[in-house]
Amino acid sequence: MILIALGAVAVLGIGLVAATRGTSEKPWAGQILPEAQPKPEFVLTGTDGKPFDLQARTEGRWTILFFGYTSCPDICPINLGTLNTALETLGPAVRDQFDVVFVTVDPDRDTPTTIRDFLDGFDNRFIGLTGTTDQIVAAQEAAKVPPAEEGTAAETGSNGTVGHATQMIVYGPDGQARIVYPFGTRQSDWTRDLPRLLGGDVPTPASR
Amino acid sequence: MSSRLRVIISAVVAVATVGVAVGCGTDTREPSGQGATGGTRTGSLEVSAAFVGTHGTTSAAAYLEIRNRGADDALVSVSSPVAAAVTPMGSMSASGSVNGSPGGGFPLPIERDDPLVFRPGGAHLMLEGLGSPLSSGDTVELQLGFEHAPPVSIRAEVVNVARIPDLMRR
Repeated sequence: MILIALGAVAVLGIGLVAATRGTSEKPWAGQILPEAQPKPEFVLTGTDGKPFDLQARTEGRWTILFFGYTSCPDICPINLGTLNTALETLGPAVRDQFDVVFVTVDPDRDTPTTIRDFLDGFDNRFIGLTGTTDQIVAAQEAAKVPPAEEGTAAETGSNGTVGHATQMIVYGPDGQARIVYPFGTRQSDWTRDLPRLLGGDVPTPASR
Repeated sequence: MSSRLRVIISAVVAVATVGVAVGCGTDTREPSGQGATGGTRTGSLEVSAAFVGTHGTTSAAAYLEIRNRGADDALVSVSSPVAAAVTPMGSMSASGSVNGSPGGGFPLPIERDDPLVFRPGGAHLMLEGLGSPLSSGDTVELQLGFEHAPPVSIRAEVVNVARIPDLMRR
């Protein structure tokens, strides 16, 4: 009986050691991309009305990119508000290292002023971009974000808006994205993951 | 069987039959009140999980769920003393994309055992033209009108949008 108990403890012990060895990397809150995705190349229009070249202006910087529209009080404010509060919690040493870039998918209604006012409700350092419909569609395609609902004909509402993916893409200083954060990401997800990214932890598919 | 027992059984059956007949009908005379899950009942409907997300502007999103354990009904109107207009918006596709166009507008069906759900990232009720921005901790009154059930007024708590992911069911 004692031998069996000792044997069980031994097996458990070996199992625990093996388990901790295998999970030397803690799980990430975000969704790890199956392969790294380069930061898209596009030149859009900033809220100051001037051309904004994403590659040139955010080179070497951690960049968080997402697409949305300001007239919706649902997804975009939740995404931005949650990220903003998390960045505030993390403090300037972390916050100052991230450029948050919002691109409107409703350029007809989202003027530079509208976008600026909307983003200033969160942080006036958030970057807001607009452009022609063609430029916006091209930018979404370059970022591998579906311009319209998948699986259906491109649906436009009676007010002309189109479906858009709601995820936030995080690019490292090397210009590569390895992890994205879907709608529903919590403040605690951001405050856990962002310092790890800054500290050099690299999300890799094997660590899921 | 004794004749007295027969009378009693007949009476019980008669009362039960009447009771079932009344219960299966769309009894719009049921008063509104607290439902089993703490929601607000009206007719065969129960409204629950109501809250509003604010991001400090003059528009906000209201969320709630309406369950129906009776005959088909529909939500025909929503209003609020704090908003100039309340409009149903959005729908969730399988791919996760969101169509920002109004979700077909009123009336919105509430079928038996098929709840009408407004939740973050899915459909929401957009409150527009707020007299002043809402603050976390405020309460907002929402007046709901239905095709069959009597109208109800419910109170929804206001939360900051940054808190909403913590409230969302995974």
